[in-house]
Amino acid sequence: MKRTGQSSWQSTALIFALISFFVGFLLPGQARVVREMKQTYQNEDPKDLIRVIKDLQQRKQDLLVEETDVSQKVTQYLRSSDDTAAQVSQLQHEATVLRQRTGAVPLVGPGIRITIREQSSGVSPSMLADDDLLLLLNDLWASGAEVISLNGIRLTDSSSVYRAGLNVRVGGKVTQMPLVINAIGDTENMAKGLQIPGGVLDLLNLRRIGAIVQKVNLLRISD
Amino acid sequence: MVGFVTVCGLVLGIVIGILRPVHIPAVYSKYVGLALLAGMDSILGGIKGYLKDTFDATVFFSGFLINSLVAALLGYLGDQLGIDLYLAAVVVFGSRMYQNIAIIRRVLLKKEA
Repeated sequence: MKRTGQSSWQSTALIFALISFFVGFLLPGQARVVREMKQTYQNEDPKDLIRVIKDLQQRKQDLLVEETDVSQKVTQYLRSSDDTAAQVSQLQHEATVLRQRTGAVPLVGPGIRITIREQSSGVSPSMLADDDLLLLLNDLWASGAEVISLNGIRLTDSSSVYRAGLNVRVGGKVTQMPLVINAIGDTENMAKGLQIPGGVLDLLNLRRIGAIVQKVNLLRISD
Repeated sequence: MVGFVTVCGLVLGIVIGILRPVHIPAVYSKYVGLALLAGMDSILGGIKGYLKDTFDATVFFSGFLINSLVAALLGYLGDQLGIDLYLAAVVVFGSRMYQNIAIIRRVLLKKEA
């Protein structure tokens, strides 16, 4: 079908328009699927995933050992409950810990500061998920954090933390990325807990979410 | 003029595709990507043919359909055989797109002169 006249030109233009329209129509859908796939583990290198799984299994094993140790301590504590002075001292310690946990008293001490930044623009944006944030906070509690604040908002045992669109909701307050998490407690233990291979920092790194951990000599967390 | 119509069609398609996105299952996204690459190659080939006065609508349309299908099938076959056959399509269509763009550029520059 060679170009012979006006009708031929029109049909040529029509066919070009239709095919380019079809290609253009599919492009955004395809780009969206690829973007979604990058945000999951579906497209990750199996070798990386195997490494992560092995590290997680090792971590689980370590936690089981820790659980056994803690159970033994609980048993010892129950056995020593006959000693009244020890019991009083233990209860005072527990009361102090509870006051710290509930946010009744401000706390000052050494700790760590974690700054989390999402890659919100570019070809493949990354977004911090609820699960990532909860895993990070639970890891901090588990590795010896006595008190934690999130962008200056103090967390207690009953604080709810979740993503609300682009914001982060902490209890009744709303804050935004980037997140600065301050945690007072055993600095070395917390840093080690976060940097366990296959741990939360590795998971964040795998999802291209930047997390900077700094040890701070003096942190103050109040209401 | 054909280039203008093509760009208009493409832009209109992208705008409608963004406003009413078509759902592509993740499993097939690789094959759709290959088919789109073949489609873009066909469009550039068609523009080149038009500018060089060798355009044939039947060849253009059949080329678009067959190239897209073969590219997707090649990707599927490669997955079944455990070979990265889709790379063949990516290399061929990718290099051909470069060649076609270079030819279109030269023809347009000659016309300007």
